[in-house]
Amino acid sequence: MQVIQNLDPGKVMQELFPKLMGSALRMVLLVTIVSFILAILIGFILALGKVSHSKVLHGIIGFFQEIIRGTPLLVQLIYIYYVFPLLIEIFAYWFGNPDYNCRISSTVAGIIGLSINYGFYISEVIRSAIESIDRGQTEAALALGFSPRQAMFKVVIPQATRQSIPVFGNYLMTLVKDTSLMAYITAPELLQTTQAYISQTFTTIESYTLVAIIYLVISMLLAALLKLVERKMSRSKR
Amino acid sequence: MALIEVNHLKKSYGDLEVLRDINASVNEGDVLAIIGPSGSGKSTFLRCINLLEQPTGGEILFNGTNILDKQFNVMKYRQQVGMCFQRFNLFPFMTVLQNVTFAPIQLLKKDKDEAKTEALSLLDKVGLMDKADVYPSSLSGGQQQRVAIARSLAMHPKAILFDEPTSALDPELVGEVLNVMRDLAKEGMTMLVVTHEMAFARDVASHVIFMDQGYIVEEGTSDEVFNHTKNERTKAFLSRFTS
Repeated sequence: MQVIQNLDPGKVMQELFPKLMGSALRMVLLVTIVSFILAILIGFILALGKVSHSKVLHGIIGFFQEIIRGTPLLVQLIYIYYVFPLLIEIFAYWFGNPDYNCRISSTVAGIIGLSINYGFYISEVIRSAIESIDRGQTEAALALGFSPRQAMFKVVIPQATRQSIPVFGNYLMTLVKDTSLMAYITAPELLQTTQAYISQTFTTIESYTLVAIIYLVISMLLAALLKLVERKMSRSKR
Repeated sequence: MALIEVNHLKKSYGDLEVLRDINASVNEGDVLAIIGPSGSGKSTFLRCINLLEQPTGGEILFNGTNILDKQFNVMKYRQQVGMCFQRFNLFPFMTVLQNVTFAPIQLLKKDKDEAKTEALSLLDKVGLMDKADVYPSSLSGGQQQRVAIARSLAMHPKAILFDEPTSALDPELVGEVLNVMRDLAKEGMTMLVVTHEMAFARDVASHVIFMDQGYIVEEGTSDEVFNHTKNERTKAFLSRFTS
């Protein structure tokens, strides 16, 4: 078969592999780490809003949650990258600044999109973990003289966090793979770099196989790391 | 002046009146046992005293100050009135020692070493010095409740509230907890104890309150309530335990 005869894995290893392991991999790691940290922060803030007694807060969070969970992440990234800057320019025009030129880098757009999207999903995990902590824990803290806020932050949240860590791990693993969606907003990450290389060399099979293997290795390393963290946490759990 | 004085205390949830008109007074060093059938409002009464339940009427005076005043500092007050729960409610992510030192370090800003030394002596007092570094889940119910008592004592409370402290325990573990409480009473600790342990109420309590349907039906010294019972409902209730 012609296709098999034309395969040239050596060339791909020599030309594409160094590119992927260089700036492309660095971008994936950077976006993953920053987005994950932000997502957890956003998750905690939203979860606290959800368990608060404010109806207004519930309404606002619920509204945005519907939007984020009801639209594809890919569409959100594209919207943030292409539409948001235009909207901002329109606002600038309205407020008497017609020459304002808004640009947002694909990396920043990716980080914003991923952290908000994952933040909303993670907030549900944290909220349900907070609500699963026995009411007696809060009462015991209050009875000792802690304020409701201290009871939440020093007694309930530490337990809810421990409970959520395995699920955080799952989200981290999907987050790494979802960074590939940034290829559609021109971010030179693993997938986009691969596609650019293929368009010049037509080494479709070798290149996509290589990038798949790289994602797989990253995921396996992450899974091993998460297992380690989980084991460490469970030792001090109960 | 009484340490804790309760006047015309009321508590209702919607239409359901749980406490109708509770009056009681506890002096320093008193051991008040609160007995009565399930659903009589005993636990609600106790929980009102440290404001885990917000009363709907009446007043509670602590050293003469009404704790239901808007300006009253509830957190500072709760530091002086400890509480032990039926289900212990130890913090599962902390060791026994950390459970005991947690509040003194966080709230009283005690030095870590000082808090630790004191916690160890309290654990020694409840017979659990050797369990300082284990997590609560590896302890029996009786041991957990004794840790909970040590945790309360670490705040140097003026009084401790016990909400059915032995009800969740296997029968053979009840004794070890009651013994610790007995020792506390001997040392002069002011205690309010909701309990189904009639022998404890009779032997250790200085005063006994019998509650039924949100009212205090009978009260007096333990001798008066147990040996010279006046009220018919109290008699009927006690007869179930003495027969």
